[in-house]
Amino acid sequence: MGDRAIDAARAEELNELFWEGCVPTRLVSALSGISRARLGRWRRDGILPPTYPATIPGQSHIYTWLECCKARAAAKLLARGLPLRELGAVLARIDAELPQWERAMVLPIKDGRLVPGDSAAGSEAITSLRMRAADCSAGDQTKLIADVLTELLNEGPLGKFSQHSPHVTIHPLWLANEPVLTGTRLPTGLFRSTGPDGAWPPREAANAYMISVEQVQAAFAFERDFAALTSSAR
Amino acid sequence: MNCLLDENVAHAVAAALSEIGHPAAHVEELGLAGSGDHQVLELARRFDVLITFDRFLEPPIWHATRRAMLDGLRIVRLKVTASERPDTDLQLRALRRCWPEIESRMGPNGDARLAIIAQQGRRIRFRTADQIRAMTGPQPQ
Repeated sequence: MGDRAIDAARAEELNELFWEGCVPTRLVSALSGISRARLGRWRRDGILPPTYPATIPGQSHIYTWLECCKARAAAKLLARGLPLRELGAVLARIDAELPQWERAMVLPIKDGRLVPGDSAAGSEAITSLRMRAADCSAGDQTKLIADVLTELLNEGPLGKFSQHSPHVTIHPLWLANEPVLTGTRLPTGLFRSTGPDGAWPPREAANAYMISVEQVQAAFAFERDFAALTSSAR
Repeated sequence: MNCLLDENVAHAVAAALSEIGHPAAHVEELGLAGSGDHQVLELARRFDVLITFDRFLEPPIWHATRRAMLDGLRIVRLKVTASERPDTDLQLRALRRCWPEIESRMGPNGDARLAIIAQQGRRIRFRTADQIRAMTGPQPQ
């Protein structure tokens, strides 16, 4: 009984640790639409510094899932006219009023598995913020935040790549935010060479992992679009 | 050695390992397909070695993995480049090339807790518990 309690406590502790996530600059840029150069400026100016900055040349900066969600929110806030000088304060307000809001931005978990289909229906906190924003007396900033978070929820975890949902998803607890085929622990990167010019026939790849050819093709399509976007955007 | 194969390792690897006397279970056949990282790490503690393509070395997973390896978990990580096709043949070839070394360094009398296999098995690096203890890994700012 005691051991079980310790195991449960350790599992919970691990779970919390993993929720931090691990998103390299390239993926933050792709999901948020913010260029890597701009993310670099924000890092240097302290607007959005990564928790794990690169320690050696050539290494990527690593953002937590919360920081990645902040980058996505920042892109939307700025697009809606929020001045850059107010960005830090607004992001801090979201954090203060909606603790763990980033957890609502991924697929929900049921019985230890990700539930495909609906992206997060929205946490209670975000729903409550939306209701507050609907109130006529709510300030413009509350409405702005509610609109942006609602848009993020509707987009789902893949942001700019939401067209690849529900086949592909990302989640801090699944391969540390590496894009995976939904419902599996298979990173889409495994299937990079299954395209028309690749050396690995999709049927063979599907058989090796006991998945469908459609899943292999979905993984390849995501990788293709991701590579196209990240090679053109700097 | 009792091996646990992560979901991202081909199923055929389990049969190949069993043939050479190392019982191997695949995460999927244990009903844990699609499970999160922490569940796989917890499950792996019941086996001698976890074979995976997963990175497990990035923050914050690094902190959890490091702790588990210092507790006794042994991990064999298969590494491929973007241009390699990580098909069943590559996985079998890489493991066959490295298995004698893995057995000696990660078996009951072995000192290694982490093995990283690259270049289709032509290169393998081992890390002992002491080396892992000394590795601070990526540090939060």
